[in-house]
Amino acid sequence: MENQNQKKSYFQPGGSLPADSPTYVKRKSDDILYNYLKESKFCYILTARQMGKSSMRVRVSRRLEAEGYACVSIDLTSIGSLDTTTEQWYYSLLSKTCHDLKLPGEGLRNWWRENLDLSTVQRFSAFIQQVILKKIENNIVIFIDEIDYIMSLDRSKFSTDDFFAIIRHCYNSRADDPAYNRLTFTLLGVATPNDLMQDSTRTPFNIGYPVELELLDLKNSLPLKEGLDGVSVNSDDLLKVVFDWTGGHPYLTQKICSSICANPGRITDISSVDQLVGELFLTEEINDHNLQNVNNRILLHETYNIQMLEIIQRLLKMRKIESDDSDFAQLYLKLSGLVKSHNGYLVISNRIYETVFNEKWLTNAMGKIKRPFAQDMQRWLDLGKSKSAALRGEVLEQACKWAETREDITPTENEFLNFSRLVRQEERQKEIELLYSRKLKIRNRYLILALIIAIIAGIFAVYSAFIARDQALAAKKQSELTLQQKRIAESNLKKLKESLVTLSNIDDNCRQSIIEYLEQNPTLWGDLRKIASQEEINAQYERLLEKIVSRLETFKNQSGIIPGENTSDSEHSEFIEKRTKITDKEIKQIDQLAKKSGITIPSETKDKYPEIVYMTLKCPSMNKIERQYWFSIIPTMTPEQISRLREILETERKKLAEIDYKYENKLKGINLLNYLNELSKKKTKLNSTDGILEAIAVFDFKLDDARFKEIEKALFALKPKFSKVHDFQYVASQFYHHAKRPTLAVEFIKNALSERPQKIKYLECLAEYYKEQENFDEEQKVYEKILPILYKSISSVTVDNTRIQFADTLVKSALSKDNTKNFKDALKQCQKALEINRDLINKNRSKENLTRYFDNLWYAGHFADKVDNNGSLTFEYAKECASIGEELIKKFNDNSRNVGGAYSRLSWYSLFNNQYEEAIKSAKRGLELKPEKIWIFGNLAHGYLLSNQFEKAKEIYLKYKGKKIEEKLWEDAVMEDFEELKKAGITHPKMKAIEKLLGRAKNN
Amino acid sequence: MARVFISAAQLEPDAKVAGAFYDQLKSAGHNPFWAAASIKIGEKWSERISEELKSCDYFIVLISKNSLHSDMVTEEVRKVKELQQIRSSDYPAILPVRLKLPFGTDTNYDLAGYLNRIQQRLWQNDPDTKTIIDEIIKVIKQGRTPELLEHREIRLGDIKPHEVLLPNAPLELPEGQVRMDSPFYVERDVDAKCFEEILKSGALIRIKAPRQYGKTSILSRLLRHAANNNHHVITISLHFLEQSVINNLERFLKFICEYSASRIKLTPMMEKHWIEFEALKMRCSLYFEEYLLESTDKPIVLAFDEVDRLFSIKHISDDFFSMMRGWHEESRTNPLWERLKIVLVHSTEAYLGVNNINQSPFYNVGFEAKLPPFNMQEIYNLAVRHKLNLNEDELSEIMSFIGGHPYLVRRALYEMSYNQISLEELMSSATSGYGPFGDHLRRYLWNLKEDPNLLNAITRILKEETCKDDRTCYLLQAAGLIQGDPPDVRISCSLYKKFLCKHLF
Repeated sequence: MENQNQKKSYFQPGGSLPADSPTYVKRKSDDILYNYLKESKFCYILTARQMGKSSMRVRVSRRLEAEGYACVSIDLTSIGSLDTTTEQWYYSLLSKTCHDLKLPGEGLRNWWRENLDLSTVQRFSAFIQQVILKKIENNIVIFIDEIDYIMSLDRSKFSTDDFFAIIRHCYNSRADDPAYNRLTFTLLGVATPNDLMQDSTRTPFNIGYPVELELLDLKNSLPLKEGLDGVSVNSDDLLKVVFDWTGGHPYLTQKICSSICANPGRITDISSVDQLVGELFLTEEINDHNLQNVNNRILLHETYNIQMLEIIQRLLKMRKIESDDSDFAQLYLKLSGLVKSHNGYLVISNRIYETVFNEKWLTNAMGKIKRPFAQDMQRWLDLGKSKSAALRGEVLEQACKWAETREDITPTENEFLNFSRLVRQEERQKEIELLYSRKLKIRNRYLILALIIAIIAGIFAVYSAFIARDQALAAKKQSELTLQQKRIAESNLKKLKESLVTLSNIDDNCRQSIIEYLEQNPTLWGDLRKIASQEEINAQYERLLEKIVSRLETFKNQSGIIPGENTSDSEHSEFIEKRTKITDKEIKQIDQLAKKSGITIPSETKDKYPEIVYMTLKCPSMNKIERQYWFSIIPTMTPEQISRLREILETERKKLAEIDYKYENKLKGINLLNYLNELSKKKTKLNSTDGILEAIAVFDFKLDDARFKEIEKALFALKPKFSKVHDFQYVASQFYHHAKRPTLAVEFIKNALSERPQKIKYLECLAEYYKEQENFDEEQKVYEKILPILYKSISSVTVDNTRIQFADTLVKSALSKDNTKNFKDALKQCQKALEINRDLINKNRSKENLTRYFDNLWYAGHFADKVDNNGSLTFEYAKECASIGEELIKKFNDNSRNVGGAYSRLSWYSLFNNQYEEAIKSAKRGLELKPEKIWIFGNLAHGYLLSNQFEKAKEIYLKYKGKKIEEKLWEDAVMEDFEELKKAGITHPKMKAIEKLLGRAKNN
Repeated sequence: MARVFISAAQLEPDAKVAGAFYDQLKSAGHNPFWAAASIKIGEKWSERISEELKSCDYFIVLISKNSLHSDMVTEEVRKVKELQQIRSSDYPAILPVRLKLPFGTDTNYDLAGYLNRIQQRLWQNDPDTKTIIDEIIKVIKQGRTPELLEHREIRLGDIKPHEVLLPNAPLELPEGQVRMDSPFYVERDVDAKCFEEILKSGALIRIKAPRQYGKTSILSRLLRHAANNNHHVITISLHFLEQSVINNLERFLKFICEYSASRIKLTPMMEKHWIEFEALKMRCSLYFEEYLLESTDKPIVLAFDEVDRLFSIKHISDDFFSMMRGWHEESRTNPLWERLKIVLVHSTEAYLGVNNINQSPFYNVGFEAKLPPFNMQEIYNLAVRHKLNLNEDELSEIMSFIGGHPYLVRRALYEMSYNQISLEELMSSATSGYGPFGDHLRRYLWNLKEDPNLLNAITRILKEETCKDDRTCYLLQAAGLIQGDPPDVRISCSLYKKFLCKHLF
């Protein structure tokens, strides 16, 4: 009984053999590894699973330990788990090392705690140097087993490159610190050095020595033979048959021997071994885990599975093929264990593998992992590359994703995938046209369409859409929607898309007319909601649509409004042209655009097809991944495909421009009525008038009376919602103002003023209305009211803004007086304003202040001219005005002001102040700024004439003779000037000569 | 108003008490559900029960002699626990009431585990009905859930699931005392092998069999055998662990360590031996090596029951099994680890160690004990012990009808022996949902109907005897419903086949 027990555990398939296992068969590699380690060489054993790596490690450490070496063995799988942190990794590596070296764990713990200021990696190497190498005086070998485990790790948590760099560092330090000569590492696992290292400069593998594990040799297999002694058949013969099957594969050999020993009675002759092998390995399904592992290592390899299968195919046919170590597929196939190198050839490792991994298996495997789109591609080829056979949707996505991981895509496959992409793009563009899904421009359109869909599909998300539209309107001035609005709009768009898909039973025209109709006549949204609410959620869409369409017709008949008829063709084509043309400036933006969206574009592609690149970057129907995809495949595309892509992109651009054109025209018609209706549904009071004023401001009031009345009614229905009555009155007055109902506008703002008589906003509004009605007396009366209020506030607090407001109002008031020819008062008010402006300028010569000052000087000059006959005041204002204008140009590069005009005026008034040089100089400068203002030449000529430069003057006078300048004949204008000058007592003897030359000589 | 599900066997006194509870709850304005009163004839009971379980707030379970062997009651409790875990909520709250079954007499291993930490009420006679229902109504009114008690030890050795079926077996076993082998336990070859294996140093035994094949019985005998041979015995039934523990590697490993320490009467000493710097698996290994294994001379058997639960939690199972494998490997070179022996009990081998091709597989490690069905000889022997004299024809009839399915065989023999039913009668009433196997069969049907995948697969197997999906195969095999090597599989026995055909087609 005892004896039999022993027999049972004599052989051991799987797991490492204990150091004292009787069945261990020594190989050449044992001595190689042993000798390398004795020479302190860094070693690695990277080979297939179950080749006896760990068993050899146990044996060799036993041998080394007998000679006083200290051996450490670390199994990485015993440390790593999904969430092991970097610190835990290094700590556990050390703690296992200490454990094996019999150093107390407490020491490590304390040391670690005391050195928390070092980085983890530093702590690790410092501990090796300062503690391990100090405390252990013997040679140390650290075996790191299951090294391939690190490949499955998240490399951000544990940088394998760092880890290997430390090992390499230990080797490099030998030169400086001889203690390191006592430390050697050995790595064991199933991997290629490439799999393990990402950074080749830090790899320890190029300083290490690989140890190849060969298969067991029958000649050295005495220990196995002894284990088989109890069997009735001659153990030599038995073992020979076993080796015939296994080729000396350690695990397979152990497994058969162990099975023989477990059932010694069954082995009656040699052929019973074959039977046993059949039961153990050659079953219908692969049962043995070693065989399963080989199978999985081949089939589950993401990149090389197909190539590996192809190699196996060749091997099955030709028995052997030339070995090539630069072929990764071959390397991985070796790592699976299925094949081995033999005299420069690749052969299948043993008869068991050969029998299991046969033709039948291969066909099956090929079937399992062949191209996911193989059938589709065949169909495409059969149909003569027909569009109908292109991949679509999810399948296409997956095929492309799959193709990205492959390195063996054939040109046909490439063409097929590119083709499908093109077809998809083309189809999507149609979809996009239909859906109006232009993302940035879409805003209100999103919301309108979302509404339609909410109605049609019976989804009662209407409320949120209205809210979003409300927000969108309020935010219309902002260049971008806020995040929330975007989210709402996007979710509505999604609903829209979903619903339009289910609406595929209607034709495009019908859909288009629904959209247009609803956009044009949003009043019907309410009706449609009612219809929708009567229908069940899954109601028949068609029935619903019929109702919509019939209502569309009725409405068209009633209102006579036909969408988009009020614009001209030229306007249209201009718009489209402007939108679709790609300018050089846009091409220059490519790099910036690409950088912004994190896309890399091959420079060759960029140079060769800049338009395509630009259009792809800007194409709203693509996302980042798709864009990147195109850029990466453009180099592989055929010229036909390229031009097809260009065509698709251009068409999309054009169609989108068309949509935009329509949209921009319709945007004006955004429905104020619905907005007001929605506001009335809000539960809260209206505290701000901003949104509604904005809506009024953007609304296009070109509408018939009936509709105007409707909106008016809706507005008045809102009245109780306003928390302050005057707010409503103000809104109403603005409404009438925009709707060109001035009397009502004035009436309502007056109502508001009766509530808040001091409110500047309302007063200004009223003044504005009077001004537009050209009722300047009333306008001035309003200013008379505003000015004291403002004056009072600036005398109590000196806030610059109020002072500016005061000054501006003074100017406005003055300008109003200009209309009633009350120049004297106008000048006074203007001068008051100038004082304030001057004061502000002394504080801060900002652009705004200078601009305002310039304008006021200009007006002041104008009034002074009307009041002051000798012109000296006007001259002063003009001079200052010109110099401020100059400052604006030089300092702020601001050409918006009429500085040329200021010089022109300056040159004219210089003449009256006898400053002819000044007149010439400023006329010249004026002409520099405004060369088209011919009469400045007049001033220049006068300057020359009066400063006795007759020839120069004459030349100019004659140059424009007979020409009309702003409706006036040049000669007449010169004569008028002479008259004015003479009136002011400024004459010149040569004036007469000029009059003569111009044919305007008077007969005294 | 609360929805209350009453789970009770339809026998007395259970039905009487349940009926009273039902009426009282109703008149208190609640919405009670009790299958006997609430399900109308012709209604689809399995759907209805699932529905009610999902929507109930409180779940009253009456535990009695009757319900203890009811597969349905156990399954309902299991489903409620599952709902609590899925929802991470205390609802449906379980309110257990024991009918004439004193505390500490847990004879159903699963139920005992599920209800372990829940406060229970004891019903002795009629006057108790009012007291208990008043208390329940009060609890419901206040929206409370029953208080949790300390984790109580469920000792495997105390519970012998099969014995409750037997006429002579005393229902109430005094706590802590292990009754030696039941005369009805069928010892098989695999028992002896396991007994031998467990005494070897560094043993690792994997007991694998479908549901109700007697895994827990053999485990409890095996552990008793180990205890008698001077071993420490630690059992962790993964089925009863809270989801939050089993989902988190750190908590899970810490639980294993603390629990193991307490089982071998050591203080856990976590602050000293649970080292935060260490990687988790290393931490756990060192805890065992430097503390537990170091602190005792006796070998330790660490047994995990219902390991299947880990299979679906990939991030835990990879690490857990690689650690187990590591410990087992360690025993070959490290004498300290020779003292640790591991037993894993599971009904499937779905994905066992094939998750990661970069890691050594687990499924070839240690000794695998597959529990086979009973053979003819074993059935005969068992029949004799039941004082039944069966001839060869009858035996082969049993064999062809229920295969060698251990539970079905024992149930059949029990019915024939205790209730004096003839084999013919037994077979004619067998496929009824309320016959001798009714409870057992209904449970299958219920679970199948809950999972459309399984339902489709089993329908296909009934028709074509093939199943393409490996995972579904594993699940059905684990349930004991099918046999064979995928994809060629068949229904385990003609009882199942007839029952399923009757209810599915």
